[in-house]
Amino acid sequence: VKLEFEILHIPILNFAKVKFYTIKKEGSYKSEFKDFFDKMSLLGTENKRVLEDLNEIRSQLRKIGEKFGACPKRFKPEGSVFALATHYPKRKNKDGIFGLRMFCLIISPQIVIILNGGDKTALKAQECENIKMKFHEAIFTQKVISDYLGRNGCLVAKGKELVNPDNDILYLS
Amino acid sequence: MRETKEDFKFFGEKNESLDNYVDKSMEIVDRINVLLAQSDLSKKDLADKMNKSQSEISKWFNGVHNFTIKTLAKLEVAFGEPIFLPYNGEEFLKAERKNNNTIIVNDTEFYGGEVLKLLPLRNKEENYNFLTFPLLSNISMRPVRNYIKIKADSQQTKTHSTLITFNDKALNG
Repeated sequence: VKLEFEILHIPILNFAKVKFYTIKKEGSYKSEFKDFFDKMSLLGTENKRVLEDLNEIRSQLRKIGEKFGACPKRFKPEGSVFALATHYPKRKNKDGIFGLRMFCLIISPQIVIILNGGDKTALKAQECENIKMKFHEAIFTQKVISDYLGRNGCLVAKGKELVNPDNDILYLS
Repeated sequence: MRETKEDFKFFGEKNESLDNYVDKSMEIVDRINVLLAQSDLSKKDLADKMNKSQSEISKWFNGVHNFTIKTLAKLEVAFGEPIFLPYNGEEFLKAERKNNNTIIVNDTEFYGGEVLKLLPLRNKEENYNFLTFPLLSNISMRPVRNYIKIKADSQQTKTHSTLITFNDKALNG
């Protein structure tokens, strides 16, 4: 089954050094970033800690975008992908609190694609019921987009711009 | 790429204290990455010196980490170098000034290809008097908070590093 997807840029996250994008899958009425944001906002109405984490991720996006650029050390490695994450000490981890994870694909120091994520409750992403699906999707999406950027050539990174020169239809398959 | 029309107004809002926390944390990550690279230590050596596990140490070199003062103090002892106060973004600035002539840091603009020094001051007036400026006309400076702001003429970049002499008393308070 071939599932179409589209890459969209996020105007409010277009900074001096980094432009952030997200993807929207065929049949979805929300982008992945919007889905993550809405879910976490809703969770935040019941759990203030989640809302605070979301605020911190907003600050991280701004600082990476305005000042530091999108080098991998600004992100938290989660398996073979990266995430923006909040930090909690071991004593909190013991209670199953690891903080939010928002998976990201770092295309270049100037281009980042924001995917989905959730509130992490276990040490390993693949063992956390909240995020394991999104984690596997992120790994898969990373492979697909790498192919489009690499040998396939459908996508081209030019400065902060991620371009689909021939307007090819992109498939998650 | 098309832009998303979804509502992300939340990401346009600012939280200055969180922004500052993220900024400082990323600068510390820069600093300890540089100190590790300059030292003969591996991450394992550092972990051993600090009685920590290597996996715990590794987390400090990526993303945003809420370092305790105790951890920073231990890191300073392990590296034999100061981590935070005298540097205030110095590692980031070093990388920045390779490419840019204008840098904005903590509300302070530095002109020219060089940022000369950010000095922590104990007594602004006292230390101010101990500074010697052989070519004062090319440089403007004033104490701000705990630091001296120095603006340098962009035409003088080649000689900036030799323009200012600090005597020991000024440096050590």
